[in-house]
Amino acid sequence: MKSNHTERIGKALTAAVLGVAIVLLAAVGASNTAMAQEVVSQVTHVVASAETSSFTAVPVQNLIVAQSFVLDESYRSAWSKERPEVKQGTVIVVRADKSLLRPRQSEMPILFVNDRPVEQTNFGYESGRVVAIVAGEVDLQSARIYFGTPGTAESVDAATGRAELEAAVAAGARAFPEARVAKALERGGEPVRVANRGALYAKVVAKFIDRFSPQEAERAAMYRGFDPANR
Amino acid sequence: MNSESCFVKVHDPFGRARARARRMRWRGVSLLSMLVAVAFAGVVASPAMSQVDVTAAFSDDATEAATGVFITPPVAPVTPANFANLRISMRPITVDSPSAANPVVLDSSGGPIELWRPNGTRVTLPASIDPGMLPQQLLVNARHHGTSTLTATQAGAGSDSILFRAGPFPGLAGRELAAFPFFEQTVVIQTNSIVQTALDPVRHSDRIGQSYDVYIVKHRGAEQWALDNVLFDESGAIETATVTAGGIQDNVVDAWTTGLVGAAGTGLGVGYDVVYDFGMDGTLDPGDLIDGVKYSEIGAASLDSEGVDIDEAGFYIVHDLTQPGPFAVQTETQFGGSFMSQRYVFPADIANMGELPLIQISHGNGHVFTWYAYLQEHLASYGYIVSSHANDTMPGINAAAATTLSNLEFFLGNLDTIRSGIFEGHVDKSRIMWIGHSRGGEGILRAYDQIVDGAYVPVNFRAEDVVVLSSIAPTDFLGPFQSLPYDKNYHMIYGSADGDVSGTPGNNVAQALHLLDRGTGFRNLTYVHGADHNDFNCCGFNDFQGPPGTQIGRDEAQRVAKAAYLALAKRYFEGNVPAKDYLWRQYESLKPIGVAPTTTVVRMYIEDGPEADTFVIDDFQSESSVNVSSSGGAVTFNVSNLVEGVLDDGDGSFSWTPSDPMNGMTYARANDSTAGIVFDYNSAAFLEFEVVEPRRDLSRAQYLSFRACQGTRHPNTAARLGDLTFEVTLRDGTGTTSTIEIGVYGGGLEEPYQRTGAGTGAGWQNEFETVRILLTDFEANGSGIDLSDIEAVRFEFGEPSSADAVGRIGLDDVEINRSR
Repeated sequence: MKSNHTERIGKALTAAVLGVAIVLLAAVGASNTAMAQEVVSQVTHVVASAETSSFTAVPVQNLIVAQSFVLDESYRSAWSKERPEVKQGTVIVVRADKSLLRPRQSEMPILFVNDRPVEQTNFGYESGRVVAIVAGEVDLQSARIYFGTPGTAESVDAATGRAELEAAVAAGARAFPEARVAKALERGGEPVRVANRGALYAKVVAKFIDRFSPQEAERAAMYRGFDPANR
Repeated sequence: MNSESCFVKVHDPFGRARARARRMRWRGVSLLSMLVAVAFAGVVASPAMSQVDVTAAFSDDATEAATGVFITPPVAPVTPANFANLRISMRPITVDSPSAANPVVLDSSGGPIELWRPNGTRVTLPASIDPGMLPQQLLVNARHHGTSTLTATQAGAGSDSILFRAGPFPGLAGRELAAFPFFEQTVVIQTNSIVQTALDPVRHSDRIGQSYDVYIVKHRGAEQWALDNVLFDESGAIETATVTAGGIQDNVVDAWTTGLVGAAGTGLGVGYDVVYDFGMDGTLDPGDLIDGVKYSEIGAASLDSEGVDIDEAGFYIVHDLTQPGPFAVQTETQFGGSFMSQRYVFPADIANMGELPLIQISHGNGHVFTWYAYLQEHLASYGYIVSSHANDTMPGINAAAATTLSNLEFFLGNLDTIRSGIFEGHVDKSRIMWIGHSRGGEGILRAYDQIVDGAYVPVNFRAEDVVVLSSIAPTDFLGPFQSLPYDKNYHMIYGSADGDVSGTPGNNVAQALHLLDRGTGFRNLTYVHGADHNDFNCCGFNDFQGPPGTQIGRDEAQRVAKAAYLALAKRYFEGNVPAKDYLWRQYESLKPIGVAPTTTVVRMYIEDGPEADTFVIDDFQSESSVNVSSSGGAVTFNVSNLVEGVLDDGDGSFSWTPSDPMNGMTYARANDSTAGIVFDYNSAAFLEFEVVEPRRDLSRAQYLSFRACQGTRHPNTAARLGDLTFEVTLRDGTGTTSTIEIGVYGGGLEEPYQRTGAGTGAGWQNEFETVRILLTDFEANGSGIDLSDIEAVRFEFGEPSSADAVGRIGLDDVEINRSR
């Protein structure tokens, strides 16, 4: 941010816009879901444009699927500053507020599991469902899954990640109930072993995108490596 | 003129002789035979000659010694070897005398002129001519700009002299203007326009009263003209006119008014030359005027500042750049797994073509690589291979850069296998353009930056093979030091109604223009009013943010983009001459035919870097005092509230407040270095830059260039929404001035797009717009300005001629461009 003055303006603007949003949401009522979503979307849009530092962590709404994997050939993840090596991990499918998922060129909220950004493989702005790769071992029973401060994942280092987690916990991010996690793992099925990152995307990620975010079939096809017209 | 005016000569012996020749339909007549005919006419027409006489062809003898004869130097020193090519820029003279008693001695006062015989041998001055050899025909060449008097002296027969004025010849083709300089020489004339030509009767005062035929001919290089000087008019009619005293506006000819042909095939522009045939004999000879050879290739002196081999015509008729080219195109899609997929569009007949330049598109976040068919097909139809690849933008800019590089490496490294080897042998690896959209637009710069830094070593190409970079509404995540175009040719296209990379002052990431100002080479901007972020692909959501009724829509935005990218490719891949005008001319004066008349586009263009031949008067960066320019000259002014500083809006809001003088400037972050000045005025005011002593000779330079903008939401801007104009004055060492009001060319400084948000009021980010004025325009109609001794460039605001009594302006990069 450019100055304290700017920051104050941004925070004030954010508060004002969110206030207007709440009023509008109340006005349109719960029955008009589409309109409500559009309002949220526009509000988020304005907030993201004007100010990002005042963003409050938003937990994902549901953990739908979790499937662990092992790779024969590891790869370096581009999803944090440290670029960790990925040899094993978990592919998760989560449901989230669509307003957080609208693709943007400037800062977007970063999806975290605990203190690490995860590898988000689709946008999910139409389906509300995101397929993501959690690198390494993770205890989903205790994990906080949330959207943190808008930015780019590749710029998040360990210290930033820890600060994001602290902020998320302070904002109320909690682990999912045990049964919910168990159900997600059950949907995911047995751990899979694939050759490399490309195979993971082609065989696991693409399958989940097709199933949970079918509007992004073109992306799934790209991950599979063949033209959807020839399927 | 004779020192003793005791006889009257014919007004135009050369012209009459040539007119006779034309009536006889001579073709391919030699210079020698022509001169013989001229001599014959001169002798016959001068029965009363009683003393030595030297006279120039097609000139008014009464003015020869006083106001003189205008002549322009060729592009290279004349030698016997290139004489045949260069002689058409020379002026014929005839030396004669009734006395056979003594030799005639020719000598000059020094200066630029030299004499040649028609057979291509040089005449060393002083020269003695045996009276038995009279009349003697010679050719006068100017080696450089300046003046020189040629005198013929004969004992017992007095003396006679001609003053030669050697200077720049701006050309003949262009368009008439409503006010001074009354005519603009232009390179581009579009097919929906007309060709006008004009001769300045003050510059060419020696020709007043002379008649001429106007030919529009297919362009030929100098060597071709030397081989065949017969004129074939392409315009449907040969106009005949007479040079008239007065101004250039009194000497405008509508030379081609219908049926302009711009069918250049895969090219851009069909080149034509304008010939004023003063001999009226249907051939181009010394003494005639041609617009089209002055910059043509002659020997080795044909490289411009960009290393481009120039064979420049007088003008080019250019077709509608929004229309597809002649090639049918083919599309192939390669799905190579995660972020290694590409869609290629290329000429369908590629198997029978040579090596084609490569354009690679890197999309933005949430975009898909199949979304750029409109641009791929357009460029491919002109003979380019256009690849769009899957881009890993979600993690950030480094990931995007990595996929830009990996996809290019994949393509160039697998030409023998991709799509069964269809591209093998047909890719020109030395001519690559990168286009990136939004995060991809920053990603391509990051990729190039990594190559320059040595962080990435290309395998299948070299850094110099990427000849031009272009970003569509790029982000600025990485700041001033990691994603730089350096001195590479860099272009940006950007919509004013972008709801994503919005330019909002509170978010540095969303200020695309930062990247443009970090470049140090040739840079240009296409800023499109009413276009949003996703108008530049097929399928991104509508993020338009602007006043109702100003949205131009995807089709129109893409027409602007297609024209801009075709010009960009033609310019930087091929050195195409007319394409350059589409990079810098104000849209009001050069709008691609297919773009709607109501669409507003602002162009910014800067020539910097090692390839530029530019003298920077003031870039406002290396000298912090507002009273001293970066070139060391004095800066004087009485405009109000002048502040120099980094071009960064300081308070995160576009609301006007005096405490944030750089309000609306989105060209820099706080730690960037690009700087400029802002100021305002409420009545007549000026701002003047001294041109420092060693750099005052501008006679061989082409343009005065600067970029300027209106200050958004300032009361003075809001008070008079519209194009803002002002005057630009040159002052020479004698105090002579010449003034041009910038609006005369058809545009001024565009008012900021009236978008709201980011504070109170209306008006979005400041829109720097380049104004380039041909320096020879300041010489029009005998202004008297001496371009070889310019001591000041002065901006005058609020003058009655501009009708803009108040204003708020940002100004930067006041430069002299020597290259055309």
